[in-house]
Parts: sequence; structure tokens; C-alpha cells
Amino acid sequence: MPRVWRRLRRIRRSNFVVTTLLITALVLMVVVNFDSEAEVFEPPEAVSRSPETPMVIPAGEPIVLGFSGPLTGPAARLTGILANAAIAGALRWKELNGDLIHGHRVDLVGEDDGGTEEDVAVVAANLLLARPRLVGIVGPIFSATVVATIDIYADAGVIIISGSASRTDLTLTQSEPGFFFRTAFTNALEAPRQAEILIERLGTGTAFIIDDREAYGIDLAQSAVAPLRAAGWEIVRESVPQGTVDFSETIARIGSAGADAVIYEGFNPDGALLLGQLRDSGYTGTFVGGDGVVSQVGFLDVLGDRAEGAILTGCPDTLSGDFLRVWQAGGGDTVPPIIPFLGSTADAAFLLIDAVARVAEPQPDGSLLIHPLKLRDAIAATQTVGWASGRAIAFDQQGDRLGSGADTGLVACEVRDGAFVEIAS
Amino acid sequence: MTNAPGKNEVPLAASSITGRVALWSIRHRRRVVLAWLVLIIAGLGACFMVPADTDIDEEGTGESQEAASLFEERFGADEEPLTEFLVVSHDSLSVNSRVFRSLVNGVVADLRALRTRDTFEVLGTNVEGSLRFVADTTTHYDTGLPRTASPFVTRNETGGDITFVLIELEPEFDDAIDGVGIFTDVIDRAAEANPEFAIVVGGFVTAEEQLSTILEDDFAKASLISLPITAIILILAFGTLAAAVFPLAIGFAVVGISVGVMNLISQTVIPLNDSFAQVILLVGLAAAIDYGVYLVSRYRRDRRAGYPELAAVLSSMGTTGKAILISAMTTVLALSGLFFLSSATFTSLGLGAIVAIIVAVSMAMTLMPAWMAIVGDGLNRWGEPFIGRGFDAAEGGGIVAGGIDRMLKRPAIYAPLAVGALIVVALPLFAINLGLDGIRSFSDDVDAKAPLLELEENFSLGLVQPASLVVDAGEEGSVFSPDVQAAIARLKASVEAETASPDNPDGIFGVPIRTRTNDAANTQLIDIPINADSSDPDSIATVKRLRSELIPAAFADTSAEVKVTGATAGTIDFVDKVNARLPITLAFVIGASFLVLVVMFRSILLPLVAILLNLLAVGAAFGIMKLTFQDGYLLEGLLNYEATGIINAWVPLFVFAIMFGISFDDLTFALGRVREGHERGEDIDTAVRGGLKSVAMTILAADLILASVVGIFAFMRLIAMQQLGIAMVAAVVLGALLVIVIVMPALLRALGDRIWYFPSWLNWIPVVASDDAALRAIYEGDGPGAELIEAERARNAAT
Repeated sequence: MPRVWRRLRRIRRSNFVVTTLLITALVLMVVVNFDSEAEVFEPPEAVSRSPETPMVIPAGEPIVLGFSGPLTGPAARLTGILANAAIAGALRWKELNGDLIHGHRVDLVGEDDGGTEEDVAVVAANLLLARPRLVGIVGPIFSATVVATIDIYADAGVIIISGSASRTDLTLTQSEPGFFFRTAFTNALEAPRQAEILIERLGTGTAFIIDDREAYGIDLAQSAVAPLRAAGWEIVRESVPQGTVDFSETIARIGSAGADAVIYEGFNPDGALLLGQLRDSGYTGTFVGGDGVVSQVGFLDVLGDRAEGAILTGCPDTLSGDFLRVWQAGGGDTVPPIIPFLGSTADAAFLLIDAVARVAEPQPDGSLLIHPLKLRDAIAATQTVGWASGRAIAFDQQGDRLGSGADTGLVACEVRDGAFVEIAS
Repeated sequence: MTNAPGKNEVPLAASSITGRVALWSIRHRRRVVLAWLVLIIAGLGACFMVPADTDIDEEGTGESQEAASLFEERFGADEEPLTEFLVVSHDSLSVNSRVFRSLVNGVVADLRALRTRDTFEVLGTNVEGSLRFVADTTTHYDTGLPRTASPFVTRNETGGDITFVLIELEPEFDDAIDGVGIFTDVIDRAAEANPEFAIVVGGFVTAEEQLSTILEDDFAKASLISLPITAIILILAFGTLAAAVFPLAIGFAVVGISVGVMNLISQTVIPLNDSFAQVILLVGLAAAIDYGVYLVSRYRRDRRAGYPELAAVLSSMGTTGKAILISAMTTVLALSGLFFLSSATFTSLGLGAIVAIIVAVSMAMTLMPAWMAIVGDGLNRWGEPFIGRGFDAAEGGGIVAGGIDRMLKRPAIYAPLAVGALIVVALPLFAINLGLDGIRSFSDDVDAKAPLLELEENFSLGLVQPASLVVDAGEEGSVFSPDVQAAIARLKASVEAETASPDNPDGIFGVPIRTRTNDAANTQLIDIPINADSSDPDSIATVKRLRSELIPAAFADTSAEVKVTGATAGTIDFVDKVNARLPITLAFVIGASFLVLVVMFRSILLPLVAILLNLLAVGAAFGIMKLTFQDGYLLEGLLNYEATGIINAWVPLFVFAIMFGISFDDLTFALGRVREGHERGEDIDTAVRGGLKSVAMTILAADLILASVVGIFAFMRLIAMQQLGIAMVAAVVLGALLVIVIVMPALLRALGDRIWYFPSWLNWIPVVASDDAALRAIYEGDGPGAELIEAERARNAAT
């Protein structure tokens, strides 16, 4: 299309028509639909926050619940789905308790945190914290973002509950008092499960373990080494930067190593690209991937037959009927997309709002006071059954979810006939 | 001698469809006016209440479109990420200096922190998304290369370094343009705070946003000049404010109703490119004012000839009204030619213009007679004696009539001379070089132009609009298969052999070549910078060579297919499409116009003459446009026009469709008068002399108005708009002065009565031109409408 017509489209017709009418002094006004312009976000002035400083929600103002994830970029689709799960959590809480918390609405704000880009994550955290009525955050989605921001949120006394960040040491390294919780299982559970399946199926052999040089992938890869070595496996480690598209050199080394199994700990599309190129090169060994590669759209659909036989951990857990109903009522697809962490993210949103409702102190002027430490303690004391996952949720002293294996929602599966089929524990 | 009818002569009027419609409108004049008021309000309501659905799927054409579609399908994105270029230089500092690094990284950090906001509601819960504006950035510092090896750095003239930063934007085109202000603010602040550095940003989005602003400003400024001129000409033409206001009011009513109708069409039939509003403003105003001028002028002429008011109304509608109807039909047919381009944009433009013409002619056929019947001689209020009686009162005299007389005295000399002159002016048309605007053709007022030219000077302009190769390994294939990788390597090697470097400064290709692979790994996008503007002949030749030589040679042994897209490839394919569709469009427009005119004039030669003269006028206008903008011979100094060597490929066809139709207003109006004389039994000399002289001043006034409306475009700063404006103004001026005043009278006189030749085997064609009998019956108190005339006579007698 000639670009000039794109330019013409952009002339606001109001301008020339109004000019015309002024000149001719005619009453006839021809003003047609104004183009709606994207709103540009102007961050408010910084808000003073600390764990000891109560958060004040003025009368009539909404309570703001944050969501942190890469809303743009390669992971935008995954994040969008998890954001919808968080919205479902909020809708479910309202369904059970009414629309208001002591007369205050609950609004949601999603902040684009760049996923694995540290500088963007920090910007996102500061933007969220600059919102005066923000009381807590669902997320971050990615472990790398948690690493980059955990201290920022802790210093501000703002709760973050992630339904998906699984790097093991996230909770172990957080400073006191800890404001980070997660409803997700950890890599410390996931990687041994991968090893367990390989040992069951192959006994022993050589494992070529690849990470994507990101916080989550490195941790998961390292967590897989020990249990395999203990079972007599020979381990070859490799790191390939996230965003790699051509794995030919890595595949050559896999061939040289005579690897019986390749374990990829990273995200799609890298994981799918690696497996596709592996199969195209004639490799017939076992492929194992973590929750970062589990996806109907990003893995099964892309790879087709080449995905057959792949073993994955962090596969979608069974979801409650309530979740499916609320998901659909909120405008979601009839069947939620096949990705991990839907239930744990929806549970996280519900828990956070519920805790806020419990600790919020209504004031005579209609405002609300929320003490960060009380909110943290309320969440830490959680003992419930997740409304979406249907699994028990409680946290240990570090903020990790109590439980081991399947009771935390960790599911292993194998691709058979183009579908994820659960592998029994 | 004039052919104005005396009191006892019978004016032509109302057995034709226009006469009958006018009669009905006069009988129900108040209801007609009321109905149009309701329609105007409804139209304006639709403008306000029904937003246009502009979600069009604008398809390109040819291989570039196939590549774009494949990209969209395989990458799941409408377009590649939009890229901007931040260019930073310092007179003496190297990029290795701490200050330089700190500045670049600081600006990049600020850009990466930008956000836009999207809000929505889910079951009563407000949700807000705060999204990044910048998706990714790449600086010299990210490459890890030493400055001498970095494609991002070069030495500037003063010994310092110049570097650029690749900035990929997150939003898609429209949203990016809406939000780009926050982006340029960051750059402006950095430039202000660091005056020792030159910091500029440019790219497709910033340039388009600035071009849009310029276009908007220019349109407003040009309107401020043009529209008062239009009003003044109208007042001068009619000599009274009352007569001048109504055509103008109808013009705006046409615009309002047409935009409302198009909004409804876009919502219910097909989404449209909302540029239709500009076309409606142009065509709607021009047509409505033209029609109004002709009808009012004819009415006043008949009144001066002594006809009763209603008879004058009927007469003007039966004669001039019919010419207007035929002209409108011809215009609609001409505009339909735009549909042959199979482009959503051109379809929108054509449809908008057609709707405007239909609304304008409908108002002319019904509202005008009703209004004239109500107002009657009130048309002459609010003017005399201050302004005079208007141009239309000067019929038969003045310079124009004198010119016609002179032409008719020596037709054998003037006709060939004038036709020859038009042909000479039109001849350059055959060497026209069609293309699309490149970056260098941007106005210097576009801030983004300077950094882009800096990119061109120091790196490669091809970074902005590279040749984009889409490598398709097949649905089940992989671009990482050895044969495809080998082919890609061969292609890159052949490109690198022609890449500009210190050893090969004239190399046509630039660096870096960028690649993207889709998730399924069956498609790869390879962006190859070409060191030339997208419309430059070198760039066009290079893309053609990529398609015909380099790619086939590199991919000969693979099953992978490669298609080339990008700005240059798109230009090549668009020009090819225009050239391919041009013959069928011309044939349709000319053929259909010929048939309509044959029916109207019951002549074979007259339509041929009309079409030939119209083609000559439009052709000569294109010649002037070519001489001005392609060759730089005319107006370059006078109006600060820049000759870029290309004519925008869409301009000629668009101008042809619009002007071929609108010019027929003049021709049919003038030839209609000649035909009237012929029907009264006048010989060709008398019919031509009387007919043309009686309308010459009116046509001149109408064309002055038309020129002032279309001339808006000639004063804009965008070259494509200037080309559009000059071509249309030239077509109007040549059509009015050369064709109507000089060529047509001489040519008709030279052809003599042969002009009325009509083969007998065509007699089955219905007669639409003769109103004599019906009007005679009216006048004699025996036909439809006669009772109105009689009643008016009685009223006149009583008062």
C-alpha cells in the first residue's frame, strides 16, 4: 500500500473539517470518528514504602493488585494466559465474597517485566511500586525476574506470590523479612523427577544436559546432575544462550558424546527448535525437557511428529471445575490452553486478595489501612485447598510451598500421539 | 449574436428523467427540502455515532505480498518489528570513552523503561496492562567487538566517532505512531542535556508520525487559504451572496451525508480505508459546487430571457440537469476504474468518491429544483449593486467569448495548433518513471530525515528498509537442514562480495545482515541492507538481480523457496501491478464513457471528440507533472518543488479516474448547450458559437472553484501530494482554458455537421435528449407541470 495513504488515514478529520466550517461559517459539522490513541503511561511520583509503613487506600479508591510478567516478546502468549489465570483468581474471590473489600474495588494492573531482561524487570518493579494503592503482586512469572527484583519488593514491604517461578534458591536467598512466596513447585523437585524417569527407563547412560544461561534453566540443569550421577550416569554439560536458533554445533557435540538422553532446561521456542533439529539430524535418543518447554502451541503444534516420545516435567495439572467455569465466564477459551502453572497462578491471586481482605483495617473516614507485615504473616499462615488446582497449599518458613512431587502440582508426561500423556509416579 | 430565447420561445425542459424528477420535486418542494434536512441530520448523526470500520486487510501485490503473507503465517506476526535508529556522534570522543558509553547506555535505558497502557474490564473488574514501548535494543557495546570491527561504529569527519543503536519497537504500526511522542521526548531531553553530542533518532515510525503531522498542518493551512478563495469566487461568479451560499452549503451537506453513508457501509458491507473522507471532501465539494453553479447560472439565464420562475427551474433541470446527470454517470464509471486495482485502499477511495457523486447529483436533481422553486428570484438578493451581476451574466461577451469567436474564425489553424500543443505537452507522459516515495524525498521538515541520511552517509540506508528475503523450507522442512544452510551461506557469500567496505566503497550491499527464524524452524527471514534509497534505480536493480540471479544461483540445489519483500520489492511489484492494470482500467473508463455519451448526444463523433479532448487535457496535465517532478523543468524554483525523478505510482491512475470524470462536467455542460442549439435546428457554427459562449464564463468560474479546491494539495510539503495537486490543477486549467475555449470550438467548427453523424442502425437507442415537445406542451398549458406555470402566470398577473 502506498505509504501516503497510511499518512492520510492518520489525519484527524476533525481538524480540517472544523477549519473548513470555521472559514465558511456554516453550522453543518462533519466530524467523524476520532482515532483512539494509545494511552501513554505516565508513572506517578514515587510512593514511600517499607515493611513497617502501612499502605493506605483512600476512601472510594480501588485496591490494586499487581501482576508481573513479560507481557510482550516471545513469552507474551504464555504470560497472557497466566495473567488471565490471575484474573480468574480475582473473579473467583469476588464470586465468593462480593465485589468489594470494605467498600473498595479490586483492580488489576499487569506490568511488562521483560521476563529474563534484568533492567526491564527492575523498571517494572519500580513502576508497580510507584502505584500508590498497590498492595501485592502475583508473579513474577519468570525466576530471572524474581532474582532481579526480590530485594526491591522486600525493601518496599510488598508481597509477591509467584505461581510459576521455580528456581530453587529464590526463597533461600531472600532477606528477612521475606515477602516472596510461591505456589509453584521448585526445580529441586522437578529435576529429580526428570532423573527418576530416565533412570527408570534407561537405567544408566550418558546425559547431555543443556541450559539456556538463564536463572531458571541453569538451576534446573544443575539440579538434574546430582541424582543422575548418583545413579551412575555420565554427564556432559553445555550452556547455550537463550534465543539460539541454530543448534547444529551443539547437536554435533551431542553426537560426539554418544548421549543416550538430552535434557534441555530452558524455554520455547529454543526447546522446540533443539528437539526439531535433533530429530532432523537423525538423533533417536531420549529428549527430556522442563516446564519451560511444555506448551501445546509452542511445542506440540510446532514439532508435530518430531515431538513424539519427548519426556517433560511440569506438565499441566488437573484443574478444578470452578476454575474452568470462571475461566470461561471471564472470556477464556472453552478449554484452557495446555500450559503449566495455570492453577498455581490462579490460586496465588486468590490467596493474595483473600489475605488482603483479612488484614485490611477499615478507618472511620472510609479509607483502609494494610500493614505489610500483617499481610505477609497472613499469607505465611495460609492453610487451604487451592480453588483452581484443588491441591493443599501451605508455605514453609521460606515461603515455599509445602509438599513433594505431585501434591505440589508437579506432573510428568510423555508426548504420545500428539498429546501430553501423564507418566504415573 | 446570442441564442438566448425570447419570451415567446420555448425553453427546453421536462420529458427527460431529470425534468420529470424536477417537476415532482417542485410539486413537493417543501417535503423535498424537509426530507433532505432529515437526511443531512441523519448523515451527520452517522458521522458522529457510527465510527468507520477501518480494519482493512490491505494486500500488497506480487512476490513481495506472497513473502509478506508467508511471514505473517509462519511467524504469527503482521509485520517485522518496527525499527528506529538512534544516531549519536561526537566531534572528538571515541565510543570507547566513558562519557560516550555512559550517554548511549543511559539513553537506551530510558528508552527501555518506556511504557504504554491498555485498559479493559472483565466481569466488572478493571484490568490495566502496562506494556513496553521498546522491545529490544542493540548497541555497539552489546556486540562486544572492538570499535574498529564494529558495524555500529565509524569515524566522523571531525575525528570523533559516530554510532547508531538499533531500537525495535513493541507496538504495531498505528499504536507505535500514537505513542512515539514519549519515545522522541527521551531523545530530545538527552540531546538537550548533552549539547556536545549530536543525538538524533529516525526510522519508519518517527518519519511517518512527522509526515502525518506535516500533512495535517498543511491541510489545515491550505484549507485556510483555499476555502475562502472558493467562497469569494462563488460570490463573484454569482454576484449575490444568496446564490453563492446554497451551492457551498450543498457541498458541505454532500460531504456530511457521504461520510455518514461510508461509515455505515464500512460497518455493514466492507471495512474501508478512512482516507475516503479526504476524497469525499475533494470530490463532494467540487461536484456539488459545479452542479450548483451550472444549475443556478442556467436558471438565471432563463429568467433573464424572460421565462417565469418555475419554467426557468424546469428548463434548467431539463437541460443542464440532464447534462449533470450524464456527467455524474460518466464520473461514476470513471471512478469505478479504481476497483480494477484490487486494492482495499483504492476501492475505499473510489467508493468514497462514487458515493459523494451520487449524493451530489441526487441533491442537484431534487433539492436544487425544490429550493430554486421556493426561493425563485430571491437568488439575486444580498449582492447587487455592490458586487455586480456575476460571471454568468457576462455570457456572450468578455475575453472568453472573444477567444471563442477568434477560434471559430480560423478553425483549420487553431484546432491543429491547440491539439498539437496539447499533444506536445502530453508527450513526456510516455517517459514517466513510476515509483514510490523513498526517504530522500521526505520534506526537510521531517526531523527523522536527517538521522536517516546520516545513516546513509556513514553506514547504510538499507538498514531502514532492507530487502527482506523469506526462506521457505516447506511446511515440514527445516531451514537448518544442510542443503538450505549451504544455500543461505552461498547467498550470503555472494552478497558479501558486493558489500561496501574500505576496499569496495561502491558495494551495493550494507551490513549487518540480520536473520530471524520462526518457532517451527521452517522459515527464515534474512534482512539484507541495500545502500540506496528504496525508490533509487540502484536499489530497484539490485532487488531485481537478487530475484533473478543471486537467489536462483544460491538455491538451485535445494527445495527451499525464497521470496523477496521490503520497500523496494513492494515498489517494484506495485508499479508492475499498476502497469498491468492500466490498460484494462483505461479501456473500461473510456469505453463506458463513450457509450454513455453516445446515448446522450446521439452522435458517434461528438463523444469521440469529448473523450479525446478529455484524454488530451489529462495527458497534458500528466506531462506537466512529469516535467515538474521527474525532470525538474517547471515550478521547481517557484514553488520550491523538488524533482525526485519519480512520479508516485498511484498518482496518475488516481488523478485520471477523478479528473476524467470531473472534467466531463465541463464538457457535457458545454456540449449539452451545443446539442440544444442543434435540436433547435441551428447549424454547427451557430450552435457552437452560441452554446459555448453562453457557458464559457460559467465554466471558467466553476473551474476556478475546482482549481482552488484541488489546489490544496499542490501547496503541501509531501511530494506525492504536490504531484497530485499539480496534476489536478493542470487538468482543470487545461480542460477549461485550452479545451473548452480553444480546442473544442475550433475542432467542432472544423468537423462541421459531421459531428452529428449517427448511423441509422443505432436508432434503436432510446432518445433521451429531446425535450422540445414536452416543454412546448407545458408552455402551451397542455403538459405535465403546465398547471404550475399557469398558476405562476396568474400570480404574476395579480401582483
